[in-house]
Amino acid sequence: MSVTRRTILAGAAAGTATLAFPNVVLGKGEPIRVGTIPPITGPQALNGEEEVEGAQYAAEEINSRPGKCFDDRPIELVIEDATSDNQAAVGALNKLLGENVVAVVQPVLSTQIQAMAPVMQKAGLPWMTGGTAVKNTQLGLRNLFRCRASDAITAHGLVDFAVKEKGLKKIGILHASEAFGVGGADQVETALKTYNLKAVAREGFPANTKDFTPELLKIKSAGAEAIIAYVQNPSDSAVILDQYKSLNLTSIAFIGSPAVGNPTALNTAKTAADGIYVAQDFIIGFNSNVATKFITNFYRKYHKQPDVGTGQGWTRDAFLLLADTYKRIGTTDPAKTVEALHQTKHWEGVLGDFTCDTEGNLVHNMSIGLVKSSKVSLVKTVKVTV
Amino acid sequence: MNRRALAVAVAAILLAAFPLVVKSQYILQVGDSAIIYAVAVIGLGILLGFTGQMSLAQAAFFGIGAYASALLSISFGWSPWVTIPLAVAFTALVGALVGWPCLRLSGHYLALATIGFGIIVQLFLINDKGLTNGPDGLTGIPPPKLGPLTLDTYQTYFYVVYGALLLSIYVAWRVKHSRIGRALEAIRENEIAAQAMGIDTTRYKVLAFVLASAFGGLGGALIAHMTRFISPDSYSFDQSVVFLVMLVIGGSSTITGAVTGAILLTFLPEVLRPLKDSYIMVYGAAVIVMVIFMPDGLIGLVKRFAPSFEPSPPRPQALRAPVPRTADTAS
Repeated sequence: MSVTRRTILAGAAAGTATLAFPNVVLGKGEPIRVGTIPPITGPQALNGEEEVEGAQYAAEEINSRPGKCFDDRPIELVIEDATSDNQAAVGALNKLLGENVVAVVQPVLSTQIQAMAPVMQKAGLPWMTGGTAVKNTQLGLRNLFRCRASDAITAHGLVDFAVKEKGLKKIGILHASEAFGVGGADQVETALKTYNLKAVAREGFPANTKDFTPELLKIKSAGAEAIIAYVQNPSDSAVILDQYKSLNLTSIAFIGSPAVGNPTALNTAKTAADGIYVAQDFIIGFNSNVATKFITNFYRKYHKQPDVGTGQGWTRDAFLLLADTYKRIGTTDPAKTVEALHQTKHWEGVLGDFTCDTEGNLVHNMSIGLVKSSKVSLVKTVKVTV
Repeated sequence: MNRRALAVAVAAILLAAFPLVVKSQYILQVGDSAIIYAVAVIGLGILLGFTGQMSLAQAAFFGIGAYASALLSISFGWSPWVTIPLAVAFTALVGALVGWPCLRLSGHYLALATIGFGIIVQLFLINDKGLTNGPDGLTGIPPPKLGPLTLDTYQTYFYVVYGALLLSIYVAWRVKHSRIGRALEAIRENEIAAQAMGIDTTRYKVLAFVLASAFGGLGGALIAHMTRFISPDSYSFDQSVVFLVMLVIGGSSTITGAVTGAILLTFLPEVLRPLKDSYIMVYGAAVIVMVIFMPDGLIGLVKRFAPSFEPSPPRPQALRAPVPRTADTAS
């Protein structure tokens, strides 16, 4: 074959295409590299450990099914430590993006999500996040998806439960003085306004507080009938519950945000947690085959209950939804995947029904559970229609 | 131009080629961050290294600079080229207001006062939602522009931070080798003797504090326009400790030490990334080893083997108490 200008041009075009679209030309059985950035070190390390377990569980589940993602291509995890610091998290993200990943799962911290947003906007890869601050999905990123219920949904669910179901109108708010806690407390106040109510007390506490007596007693003296607590750290939740019991405040109903129902928090608090209500993205006992299978298999692998709220549950769902989307469209092209994820309708995950709204919110329901002997049983599921 | 100045100029030009050689966004981002931290650490060096005054509030000034520049550019639409200098000026002013009462204290009491100030600043940033948007932080901070070019990549932004670093080094070097620098060193060596020599110690200590705050403010403003998102959790006491460790590891009394420490301790966790969750243990151990075997920092170690490297100005001999000649020493 003679080398003409046309063959050289064709060769050059093919070469450029290979460089520009490595995912399209990758062959059958080639692993699909998905990046994940949990906080493995720092104060959020407990969440990070759970998220790594969720990711590993998901990769195993996908890679053991026939055809894997599609074309026999397995998921390959690329894990980087986001630490608990925003700047380091952006560094971890940049490192991931240099390692040919086709999608990013994580983080769960809303401030880290917002710090990473300018980088992810440029990258354009599908981005499955777990941060619940309402603002996350309003940053104008079409490639950002939230795989958990937003704070607005959770706070409205908690307030509805306290006011409508329990008839408690004097609500005191206890919250951590950081992004999650303050954001959640604001959403509770907004939800109370829909009933023309105002919180009788709102007490914030800074990080590393070890004595919550002043905050709890202030809420009591304000005449609260219920405490709605927005706490992020499971260790804080355990201490709060212990003091709530020892100060004999059990006549005031205690209704906690998802992290309050974290298995570590409940196991540490022991009987002090009996009788409290907690919000969960999903609660064990929910009538779903996907969730039952997940809980059973997870227990077999790790010999413990998963935290289906902030930890393993949503991480598993994020990976599985990605894998199913790849299967549906037969490619890992980022732009096509983003568009396909926006078409998600009634996909069933551990957290329930996933349907994408215009902002990229996938989950629109939350549950409330009652704690007894460190176990959560389902009381009510709140669904918010898109 | 002497050989030393030539060597510095060549090194500066070679470093300027960093973003042209390195293509990894990750390494470029870590490099930009290291330079920004170096600016803040040089400031801390003026206070701790030159003057001998302890501050654990550098992260607070870093935060004040970041928020001031971000708020001015978001609220009024001003260019970062205007807001960054204004943020530096504002941080210096806050430094003066805080420094005046605080610097009447010394030693542990001064350290405690600065810790208190740092915590107040962080709580203010979290709770004054009307101004700072609370714990959610500020998004949409604009990157600087140079004519038609928007400096929103780590490559282009490198030259902004690198320029700021060279400026900071120059200012700190001028301070060190001036009358002010000698006064600061006199205060570090012996405050009472310095006072006896006619040095207005309070004034000079406040000046050092203001300079340290201004450098901190510059670093903060630079990082705000790079990450384009800031939130109060980045300006914690822990970050102040990191700045202090950077300075001590590098060598507190020299500018080269401050820069080396900042760059080393920004890259170290990244180098240790493959160790995953055990990296913190190795990182901690490395810091302990460095403190034990290099009490004068990395630069102290270099100086031990190459004494001509950044020679220290002669110690103020006159301030040392003369050794009385006794019968024992005379014999």
